[in-house]
Amino acid sequence: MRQRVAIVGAGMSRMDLPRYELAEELVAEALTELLEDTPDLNINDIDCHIASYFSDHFEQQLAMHWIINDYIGLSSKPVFRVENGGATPLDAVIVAYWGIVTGQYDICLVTGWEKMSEVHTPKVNEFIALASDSDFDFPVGGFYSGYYAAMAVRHMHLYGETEEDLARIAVKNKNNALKNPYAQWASQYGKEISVEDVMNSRLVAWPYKTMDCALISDGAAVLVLAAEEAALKLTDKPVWITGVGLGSDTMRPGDRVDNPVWRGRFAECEESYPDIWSKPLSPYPEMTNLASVRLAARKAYEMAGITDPLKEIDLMELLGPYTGIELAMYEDLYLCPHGKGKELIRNGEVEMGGSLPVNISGGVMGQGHPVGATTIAQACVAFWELREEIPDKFGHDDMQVDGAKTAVVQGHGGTGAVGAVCVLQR
Amino acid sequence: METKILEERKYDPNWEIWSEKGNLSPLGYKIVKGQSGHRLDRLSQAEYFISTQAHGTLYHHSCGGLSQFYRGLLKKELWGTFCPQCGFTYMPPRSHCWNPDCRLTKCEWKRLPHEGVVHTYTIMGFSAAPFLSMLPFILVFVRIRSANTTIAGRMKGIDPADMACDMPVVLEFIDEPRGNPMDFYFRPKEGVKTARTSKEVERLRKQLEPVREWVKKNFGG
Ligand SMILES: [Zn+2]
Repeated sequence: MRQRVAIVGAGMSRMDLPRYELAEELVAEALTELLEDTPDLNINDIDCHIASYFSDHFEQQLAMHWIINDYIGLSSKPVFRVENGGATPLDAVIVAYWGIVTGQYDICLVTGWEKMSEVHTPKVNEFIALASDSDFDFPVGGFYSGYYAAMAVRHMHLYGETEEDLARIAVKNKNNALKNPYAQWASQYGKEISVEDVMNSRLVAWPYKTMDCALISDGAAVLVLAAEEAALKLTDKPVWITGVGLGSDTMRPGDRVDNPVWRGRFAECEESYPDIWSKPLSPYPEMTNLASVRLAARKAYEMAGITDPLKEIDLMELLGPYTGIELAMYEDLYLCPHGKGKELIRNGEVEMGGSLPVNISGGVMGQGHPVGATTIAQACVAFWELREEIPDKFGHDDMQVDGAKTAVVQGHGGTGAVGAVCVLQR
Repeated sequence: METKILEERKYDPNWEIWSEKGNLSPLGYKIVKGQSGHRLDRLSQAEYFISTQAHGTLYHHSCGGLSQFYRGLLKKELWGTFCPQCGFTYMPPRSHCWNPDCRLTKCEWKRLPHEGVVHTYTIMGFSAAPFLSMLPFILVFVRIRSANTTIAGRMKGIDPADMACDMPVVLEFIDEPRGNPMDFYFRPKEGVKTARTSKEVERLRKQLEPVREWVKKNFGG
């Protein structure tokens, strides 16, 4: 029998650009919240510390997790950094889960942070683009908004969603964030937006305008995971990690069209590919979807016994840095058939009050996207949802999904070079 | 064996001085009053010291087994690789076949045709720092004829509104190639007409206007 693993505590900093505090102070801000909410946890009880930050370039500091580790009183404890692009924070949670599930540790702290405000925005884009292929994709002027935009263009070409469909996703996420007192969008913009506002925002990479894109943020988030026995001593409301899945795909999105490893692996997605002459040998994921995420979801759902995700999952926090990839991932996460992602946003199923609200927090385009903290922060919101603590955390009950029992948190890195899915249940 | 230089395009030696110049010495500072606090309903003000530093360096990147590709660019030739076992053709090239059945078979070089098809594209209105002055530009992923992968590049000689997936293109070289993927670009192979509605064309033009103005303002003419 595997050891059961629960999340027993969560905390996050307010997200903003800039936050003037040091990274370690932001982690302390998040950890203070966790400690206040988990009074029986002593820092000395932590057996292992798994740290997450994305880039050494943002602060010209390698091994930043060593600074964080002693700052919060953990010197003497095992610590290491997980680095996996945008998937880093959720992967750090998964590594902590492994540490416990194997019986090696009872209590693991996961910290995540990023300070992206020290260099100007085009430089931020350049540093992030260094996590794309810097021999072929970056030197011709590519950067992440461009790669994702090209992927969305192909998805729109094959499956027919419109710029307005994509804009609706931005409206959902950003307006959700207005109700979140930790959210960057709430302080940075602070008022409701419409589809028209998205359409009129500045072009970044067609079809994406600024409002279709993730924010650039400073912030931190933390979780404490514990083995069953320890968990039940620390809280009477543990949130169990019941499913975990990972996957990968090519670094360069352009390599995916005929990739031999995908052939025949996704029969359910290949039928939906339109009958056109340029059909590649691997019609899924093509350049439109994220196979790494689909594999991760398959594995995580199987482990958690989820067979009808749209019905069985009560809320989802996913890493949608661009509106089009959130839409494509509705498909990759089995919420709808391949090519039908647009239906979920058109009919409101992913809105608050719909059958499966996605990114109640506002996600990366609302709550914020300090890369190393992002999905840990989203997991914090999922944790509070499952414990029905949103009214206390947000100061109102508009965003609490009543009786939520199952949440999914998804992360990925690159243009889907790696993907991760965690199922959380109370 | 000693390494011999066969050919060299020299760079300005001032770059060596530049690369040692900044290296995190403090250049300036400011003291600001800014926002602090854990949640939006608990904000406060605090004062912060902000220090400005610079750091840069030169990289000397060997292109390894793919050197043939870059030397080909200097001669305005497109060289890709293929796997002698499964026949998969790579552009961008790879030294080893990635097909798991081929067990990392060593690929061989072949010249590829200077034409292909736009698999997908985007019209860039913003970019990473080194490319800002070139905005707006069209980024394309092109499947070179006979290749099993697509390569990222630039599209020229077309109104952005006329761009479409699956468009046939030809590959052309700049006048003085430097051994960089920017040495070549793509042009439409045939006459093109827009696949967009007139409303969509108008909208795209409107979206591009502020980009052009911004570039003009920041980089001139
Ligand atoms: Zn082969």
